[in-house]
Amino acid sequence: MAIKTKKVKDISDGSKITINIALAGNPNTGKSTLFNALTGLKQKIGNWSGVTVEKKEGKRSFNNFELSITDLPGTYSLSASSLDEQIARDFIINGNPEVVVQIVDASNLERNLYLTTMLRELGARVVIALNMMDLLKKDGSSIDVQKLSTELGIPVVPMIANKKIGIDDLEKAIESVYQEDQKPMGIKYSKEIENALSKIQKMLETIPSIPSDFNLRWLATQILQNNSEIPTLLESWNVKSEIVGELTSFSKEDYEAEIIDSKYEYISKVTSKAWKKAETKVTRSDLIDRVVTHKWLGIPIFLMIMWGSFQFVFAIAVPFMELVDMFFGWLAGLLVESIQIEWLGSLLGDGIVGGLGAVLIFVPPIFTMFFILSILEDSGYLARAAFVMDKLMVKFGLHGHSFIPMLLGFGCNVPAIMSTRSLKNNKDRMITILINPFMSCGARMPVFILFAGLFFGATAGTVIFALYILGIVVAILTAFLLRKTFFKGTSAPFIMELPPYHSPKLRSATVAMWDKGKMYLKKAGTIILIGVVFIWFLAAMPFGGVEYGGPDTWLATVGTFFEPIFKPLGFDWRIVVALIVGFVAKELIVGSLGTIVGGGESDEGIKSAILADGGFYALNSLSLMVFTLLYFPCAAVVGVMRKETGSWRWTIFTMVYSTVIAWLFAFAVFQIGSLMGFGL
Amino acid sequence: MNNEILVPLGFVSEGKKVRIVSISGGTRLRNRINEMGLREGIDVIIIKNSFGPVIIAIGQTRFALGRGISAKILTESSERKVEKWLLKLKK
Repeated sequence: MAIKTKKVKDISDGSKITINIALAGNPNTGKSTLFNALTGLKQKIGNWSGVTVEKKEGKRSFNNFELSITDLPGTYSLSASSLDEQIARDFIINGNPEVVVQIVDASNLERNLYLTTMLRELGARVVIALNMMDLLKKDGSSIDVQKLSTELGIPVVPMIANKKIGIDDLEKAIESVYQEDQKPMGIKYSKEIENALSKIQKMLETIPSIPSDFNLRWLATQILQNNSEIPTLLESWNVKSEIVGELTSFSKEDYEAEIIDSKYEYISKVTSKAWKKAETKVTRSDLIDRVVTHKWLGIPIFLMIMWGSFQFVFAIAVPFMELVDMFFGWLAGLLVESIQIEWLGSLLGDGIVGGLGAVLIFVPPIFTMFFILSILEDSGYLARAAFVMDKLMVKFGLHGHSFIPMLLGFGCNVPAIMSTRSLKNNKDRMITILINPFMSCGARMPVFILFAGLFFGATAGTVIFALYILGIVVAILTAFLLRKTFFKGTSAPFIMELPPYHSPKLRSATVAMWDKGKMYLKKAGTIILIGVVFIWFLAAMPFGGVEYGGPDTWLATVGTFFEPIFKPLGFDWRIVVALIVGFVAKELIVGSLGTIVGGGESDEGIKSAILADGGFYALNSLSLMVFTLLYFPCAAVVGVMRKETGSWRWTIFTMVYSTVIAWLFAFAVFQIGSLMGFGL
Repeated sequence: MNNEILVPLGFVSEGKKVRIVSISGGTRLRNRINEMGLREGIDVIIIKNSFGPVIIAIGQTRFALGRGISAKILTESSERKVEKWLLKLKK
């Protein structure tokens, strides 16, 4: 079983003893805050279920110990009704944590302790970090920590994680729990259940293939509760199917409910002596909610916040972008003129500086976008946006919860797709994953800002906003189609916790911005660098005599070959090449255009180069923006889709479907626009 | 049950305090809801119930519940308290 007896190590040589810690807890209890406080790792403070999308690990040393801490997804239970719960449970079983630190929101004691009973049932040695102690008094509630600890039989450490209060005591508690075993939790189920449990346990003991350290009582309760994963698990130990049948025949539909009830009875017995409950009161947060989620005001408020965000991104970022643009334009010109070896000057000036410059110019808006998203998340508004959109989403076969991954997609689709793990219904989850690429990520923003800025002047912010809305609309319509065809059925019931509003912390938003934004910088230094050099190479070949980026180059040969397909969208061969390279990463679209047209022959940046070019104008840049918004998810998204859906078929479906949709929409924009006289 | 009138959560007006009496619609669903702390016998205040999901308050926690699920949670006015054991007898 998971919780191994502790390793006794000789520490006389001065080496530290490593303790493996799992950090568990309900959503919105400050788990990420505690993780940061413990490990000092820069990580995001989340506000809605599912923010811990990847397995996060960190280390902390004290005295002779080194804590190796794994942050588990925030869950209410370990019954594996969502992928998050499954991940958390499996880590407790297979990840061998020696101590589980469960963070508990002091103002929600009862519900939080439910998870404690599940952890202890699994055999984990638990320390409770009782967080947000400072908010108790305000609510008119109080907890006798000592008594609670005695009743539960495990250490309870009062904490205020966001002020780093209580960390030392937590260290001490971890050390003491590591060194001595905990008494089993004192839950007694009804006679009927206990009888069945002991019968099952006896049977299990006779099966030699079950690992000797596996927690049989836990296994027995799972069998009794008809956990659908159990037969597979037993078969993996070569347990004969008759025996599996005999074991599962003990289960009854009501048992799970009875077990849940018994756990809550145990909890209320434990807390009755130690906890003074707060009265439920209507708070200021509730009053805000009544406005923000209002029947008529809700959606306009949501749209206004989004529109305001894009205006903000645009207003803040543009001056910075102009600086970056000027700098790279100057640098490119300088390199081309001063380097005597012609091809090297061209590679550095046209290729690398032209291409990378075109990408790096978008650092300011992308960082601003991540900053705003993280403010929306931290403040608690994201959950309200999900609420507001629920009614609309239900009409199209999903519910509000699916809207959160969609909004996160505005940053990057990769973590957004991973955040779907908190959805309880597999079909809901599949649909939510498959539509996510239509949500316009930060890498597509460069194309929008560049072309909207050049050709749409004062309405640029509104054009970009409209593109984002188009993405949402296509995503929702696609969800509807998928629901009506391949994923028939109703979505899981909508239950979502609304975290109380927080005033967002500048520091944590900045940290989150840097954390996510640095991915963009990293990409610029690796895959995009390779991409632009590759494009430069094609644009300069064959060597000798051809005009760089001109119609006789290899690049033109490739582009012209595919050009007929894109002619009806208004794209010439250079845009075609940029879009093809954009399959790998969407930043490469402006990167390659920068390499192709933003050549280093003058001290102009990519913007003036495009304006001077003549091949770009308002209508074809609009159709280019629409195509970029909708077509082919980038390579990283293809990878995560394959992983999260477990299906190549659906991944390929999305690749083809999105590209066809993009072509159709861009075609419509360009052809209708031309008919209306907006063409060249 | 008895002559007590049970009202689905989705029909309780805003600002009212009610007690959850039963959760219908399949054991699986009921169990999952129970695990989130929404259980028979607890009192909730309806914060918002006009459009889209219902918002309820339990202690410091706020939940948004879709229309479908709100119809399956039956409540009674919690001013007149009925002991849990009494309810069990009446089943």
